Amino acid sequence: MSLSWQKIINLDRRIIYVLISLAVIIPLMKPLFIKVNITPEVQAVYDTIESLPPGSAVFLALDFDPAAKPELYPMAEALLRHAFRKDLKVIGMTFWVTGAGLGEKVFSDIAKECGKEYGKDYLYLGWKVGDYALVIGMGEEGISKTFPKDHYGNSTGDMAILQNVATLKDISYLIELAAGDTIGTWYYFGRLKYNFKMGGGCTGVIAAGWYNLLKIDWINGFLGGLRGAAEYETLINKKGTATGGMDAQSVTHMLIITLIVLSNIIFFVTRRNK
Amino acid sequence: MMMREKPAANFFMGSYMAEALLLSECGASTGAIQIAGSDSISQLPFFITTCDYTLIGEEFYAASAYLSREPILVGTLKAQDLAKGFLLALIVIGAILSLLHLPAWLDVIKDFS
Amino acid sequence: MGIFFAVQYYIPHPVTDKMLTDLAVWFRIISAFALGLGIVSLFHVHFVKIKRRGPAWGFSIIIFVSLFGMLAAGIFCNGIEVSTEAGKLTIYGWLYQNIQVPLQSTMFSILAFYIASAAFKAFRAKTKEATLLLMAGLVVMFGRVPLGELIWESIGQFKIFGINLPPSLGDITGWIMKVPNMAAQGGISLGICLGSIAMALKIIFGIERSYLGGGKQ
Repeated sequence: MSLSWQKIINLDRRIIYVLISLAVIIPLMKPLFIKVNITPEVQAVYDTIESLPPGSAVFLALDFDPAAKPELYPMAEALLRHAFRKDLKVIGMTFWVTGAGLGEKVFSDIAKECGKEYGKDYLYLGWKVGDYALVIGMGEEGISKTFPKDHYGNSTGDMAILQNVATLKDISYLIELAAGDTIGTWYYFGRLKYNFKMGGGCTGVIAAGWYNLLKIDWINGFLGGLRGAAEYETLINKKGTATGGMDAQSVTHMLIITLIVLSNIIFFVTRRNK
Repeated sequence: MMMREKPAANFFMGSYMAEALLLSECGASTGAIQIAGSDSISQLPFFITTCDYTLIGEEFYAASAYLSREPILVGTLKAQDLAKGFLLALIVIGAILSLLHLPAWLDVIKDFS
Repeated sequence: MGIFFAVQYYIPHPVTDKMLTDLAVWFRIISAFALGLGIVSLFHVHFVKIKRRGPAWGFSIIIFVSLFGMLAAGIFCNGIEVSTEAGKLTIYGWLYQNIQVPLQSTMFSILAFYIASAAFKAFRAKTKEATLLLMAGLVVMFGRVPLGELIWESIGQFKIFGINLPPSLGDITGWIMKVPNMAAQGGISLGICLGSIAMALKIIFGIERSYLGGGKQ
C-alpha cells in the first residue's frame, strides 16, 4: 500500500471529528432551506389529530430525557402547537424522571404561545414512580386517583380538564414520544385494554424498529427522528429547530457517505495493487 | 476508565441504549479486542462496526449454553428452538393460507397467535 | 406473583382486573423503595472509594456534590422548576435547565462524531454480505435527508407503462425500511423474545437465581 493511501486509510479520528463539526456548524449558521418531503407515517399522525373534533382529549407521553432532546423536543413542540390549534385537551406525563423538567418546559412554553389555560386546556402530570403500574392505575382507577397531584403539586381532582376525561378509556389519541422501550408498556397495558388510538415519535436510532409496530397496528403513524419532527413542522406550517437542524443533518450525511465511499475506493485500489 | 486502564479486552453484554457506541468506540480507539452481545436490536449496528465479534439476538442466550454446557442452559436453548420451530411453522401456514385467500382459516391462526 | 401476572392477561374478568390494579399499587410502592435502595448503593460504593482513595476518587466527590446539590435544591423548591407566581426558574429549575440538560444532551451528541469515525474505519465491502449492507446503508442515509432527495429529484423521472422510473428516493428508502429491514428485525426479535420468555420463566420458577447474587447451587 503506497504511503499516501495508507495515510488516508489511517486518517486520525480527530480530523474526522473536525470535519463533522464543520458539517454541523456551517449549515446551522448559513441555512440551506431545503424542502422536506412528507412521508406517509408522519402524514398519518397529522391526519389523525386533524380529524379529532375540538374538545377531544389527547394524551402526550413525553418519555425521553435531555439526551434525546434534540430529536424529540421539536416533535413535542410541533404536536402541541397542532393540538392547541385544534382546541384539543392535552394531558402530558413522563416515565423518565430526568425528562420531567423538559415536559414542563414544552407544555408551559407552547401553551403560553397559543394562549391556553392550565387545568382547563392542558394538564401536566409530570413523573411518578411505577412504570406500567401507572398505566393500569390511570386505566382502571382513573387519572386523578393515580396522580392525585400534578407536577406542580396542585390537586387534580377539581381540574376542569379531567371532568370529561376520567380514565384512559376517555382519551381519543395517545402519542408516545419514546427514547427507549416504553412503547410496549403503553401498548400492552394501555391500548390493548382501553382501545384508544396510538401514534408515536422516536429517535432516529430506534425508528427502524418502529416500522414493525406500524405493520402490526400498534401505532397508526410515527415521527422518526429529527426528520419526522421537520416533516411535522412543515405540515403545521410552523418551522422550528427541527427544520433548521435538517440542513446540518443533510450535510453531515453527505460527508459521512463521502468518507465511506472514499475508504472503500482506497480499499479496492490497494487490494487490486496487491 | 478505558483510556486510563487500557484493558486488553472489553465485553459488552446486556441491554444498551445510546451509550453502546460511546463505550465501544472508546474501547476501539484503545485497540482492545471487543465482544458484544445485546438484546437491544437498535444498538447492533454500532456494535458490529466497532466490535470484533457481536452476538446477535438469540446468540446472546446461546453463547452461555455453548460455553458452559450446563444442562439447564442447554435445555432452555432446546426449548427455545422448539418454540421457534413451532412459530415458524405457524408463519409458513399463515403465509400459504393468506396466498390461497382462505379468511376463515386465517382468523383461526390470528386468534391462536 | 409472576405466574399470576402472566395468567391474568388471558382472564378478562373484573375480579382479576381488580387484583391487577391492587398489585399495581404494590408495584409502585416497591419501585419507590428500589429507587431509594439504588441511591444508598451508589452512596456506599463511592463513599468506600473516597475513604480508600481508590483510582479516580476525585470523580466520586463530584458525584456526591452533584447528588446532594440537586437533592437539596429539589427539596428546597419542592421539585418545581418554575415558580408559578413569578414565572421564573427556581434554583432547582436553573440547575436542571442550565447544567443537567446541556450536559446530558452533549454526552449523547458525541455519538455523531463516533459514528462517523466508526463508519469510516469499519464499513468496507469485504464480502458480498458486507457490500449489500453497505449499499442499503448508503441508500437509506442518502434518502433520509432532504439534500439527498433534492439531488435524486434533479436526475428527473420518466414513465414507462405507467411506472415512474427511476422510483423516487422516498419510495426506495421506504421499501428498504418496510420490507427487508422489517423482516430482519422481526426475525431477530423472534429469537430475542423467545430467549426473554425462557429467562422470565426460569426466574419465576426459581431456576435462575443469579439476580439474587447467589452462586451455583
